[in-house]
Amino acid sequence: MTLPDPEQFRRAMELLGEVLEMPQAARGPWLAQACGADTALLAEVESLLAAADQPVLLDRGLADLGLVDEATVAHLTAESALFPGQTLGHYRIEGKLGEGGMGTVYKASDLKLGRVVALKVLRFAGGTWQDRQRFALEARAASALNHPNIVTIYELGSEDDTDFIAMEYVDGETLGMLFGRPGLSRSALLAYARQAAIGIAAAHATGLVHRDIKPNNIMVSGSGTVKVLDFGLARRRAAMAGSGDPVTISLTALGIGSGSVLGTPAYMSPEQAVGAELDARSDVFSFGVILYELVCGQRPFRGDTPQDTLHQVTVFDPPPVRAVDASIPQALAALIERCLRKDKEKRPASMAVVVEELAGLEAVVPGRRRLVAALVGAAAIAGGGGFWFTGQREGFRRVVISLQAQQMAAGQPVGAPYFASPQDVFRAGWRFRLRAESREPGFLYVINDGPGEDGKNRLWVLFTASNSERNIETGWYVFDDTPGTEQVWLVWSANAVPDLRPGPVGEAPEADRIEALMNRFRLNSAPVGNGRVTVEGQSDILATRLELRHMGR
Amino acid sequence: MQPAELTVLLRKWSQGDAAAAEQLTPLVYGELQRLARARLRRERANSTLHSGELVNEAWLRLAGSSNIVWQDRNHFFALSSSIMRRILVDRARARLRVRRGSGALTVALDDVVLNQLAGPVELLSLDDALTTLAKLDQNQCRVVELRFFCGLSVEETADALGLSKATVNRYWATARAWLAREMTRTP
Repeated sequence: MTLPDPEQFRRAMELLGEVLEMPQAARGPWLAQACGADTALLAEVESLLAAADQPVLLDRGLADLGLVDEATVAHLTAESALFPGQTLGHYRIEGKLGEGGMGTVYKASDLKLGRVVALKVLRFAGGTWQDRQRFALEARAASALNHPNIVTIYELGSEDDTDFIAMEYVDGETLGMLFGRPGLSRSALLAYARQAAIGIAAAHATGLVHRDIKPNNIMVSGSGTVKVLDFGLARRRAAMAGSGDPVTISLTALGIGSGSVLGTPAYMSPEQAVGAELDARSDVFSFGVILYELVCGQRPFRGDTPQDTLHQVTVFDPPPVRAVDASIPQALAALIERCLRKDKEKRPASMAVVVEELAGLEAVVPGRRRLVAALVGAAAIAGGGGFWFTGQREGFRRVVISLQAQQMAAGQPVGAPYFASPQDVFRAGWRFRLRAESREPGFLYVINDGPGEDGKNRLWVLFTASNSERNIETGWYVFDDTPGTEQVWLVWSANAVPDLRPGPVGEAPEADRIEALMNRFRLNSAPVGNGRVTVEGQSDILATRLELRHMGR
Repeated sequence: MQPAELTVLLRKWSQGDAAAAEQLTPLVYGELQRLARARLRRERANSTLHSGELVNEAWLRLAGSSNIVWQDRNHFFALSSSIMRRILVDRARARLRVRRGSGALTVALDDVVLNQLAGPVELLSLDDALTTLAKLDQNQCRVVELRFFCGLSVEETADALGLSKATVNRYWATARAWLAREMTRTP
């Protein structure tokens, strides 16, 4: 609508205010006199005066109007958004981390202890008092767990009937997020899974069952430590599904929950799918699903609907591991398949057994030397590595990079060269060299991005391979006296890159062009032990960057 | 947020600082929602929502027991009432959307359906009219917001806006008439 003239509006409202306080009979004459010749004003006030007698929404309460009704109640109870700055108990919300089946997770500050926590604000469970008590009991038991591979629960709290759990804040990603990421090898993923298994086994040792083991409940921190999330919280979910007994999740309940409340059935055990009693071997099954997925690159049970998936979990035998990928070692395939047995009596008796068998797989690696050699080149196990490679996915290239360092004193080597980790801190005068191993021949380029003599950052090509080879090693480079962090780019290319010649790279635009090239093909490297990292991707060029920290003398 | 920070933000907000409003609005919105939830859970049988009490409780929680001057409390109420308005309007929109989507209107526009829709439809038209009113007279709009959406008494409204009771009464009467006419006017 067009806005009335403000002056006209002001005058009309003033007169209306006066006239409304007068007795009915006095209004007409007074108004006629007040408006004088201004007939438009008179008409306006008269029309407002007529409207004043009409009933209006404002006369009734919000509740009378049915505006605050069941639906509004549902709306208000469903939303539990907290905003940065708001406090819950002695926690101040900093930001939202994510949304889970049980509620929303926020990053928050503990105002008492001054530390950062992850705060899981639980959706209203709707269960009975007993359900909540039982949940609290188990969550409290979980909070007693103290293990490097389990996210520590600090506190269970309740504020205005909002239940929340304060727990260790892990700066990282979930295993689910890492699945299928280019540049991250299966062996690296498997190493993460093994850490998770250690955490789960530790919880089982105290009698706790997780009930909801899945990749998104496994956090990988920036430093590579794995932490299992949400121990002792799964009962809560069952209660939310509305089943009578909160311990069990039945197919019927799932039908109601349509899978969204309960998360992915793809990781449930058969006994869970039919609502039977659960013990630690249910977690063993779920862990087997994860192992299968990360080794085979596909989930064992994949239905079109949650119900379909659960049906498969209960009756369907997934394709044998080695039918999916023949290069997977027999012992690993057998372990995964045993974890996935429908009959829990036939699974490994505990997670501790799984951990032990995974460790045993590493021990047999020297015996798999031939496989490794065939896959990545004869020199791949030069470091006496504890890892085998589970074969390459179609179209994928993988380069294994090792970093060797040599301690030096007074210009003389001290001891033998060792395989260093990129996380190590080196000293001035020490030497390092790099080696790249790949299945197919390629060219290696090493480029240093760091301050030059003029103090400006610039690119310097340290090394170029003159021939394509499967196994390329650089010469030794010396860390100089200035402490700092060297940004070392490694570029592996199936074809020669003639533009990269040893020495400083000229000024822009050439430097910009090379920088852009490296960034375009940049992949994250994944550590595989013994100072070695792998880089994996589908392109002809694989680039990665190592950061080497070194101190002065 | 500490009560002192709240005070500073409220003062900035009352002086028309848009950045302060941006910081305060989600905070108060969230607090009101959460309190509404907690209350409704406790009093499920009687699911009426007294927004005035909610705002009062939100105020007590956010401000704590600290020494916050009365003026700040008034600013807070003024802010909360417009937020309550937004919560309810959002809600009304959502309800109308759902009904359209579910096909209720195409099946039978019977009295039951019309009665159920009357509330949300009227509320949206009130919201539009209030938006226009605010452009013409901010104070009259505030009086309606505080009294209708926040459930404040004349006296509390007068306190919150720093007006006399007589003025609040008059504004209420004139705004009511003006809104009644705007809402029945065919667009």
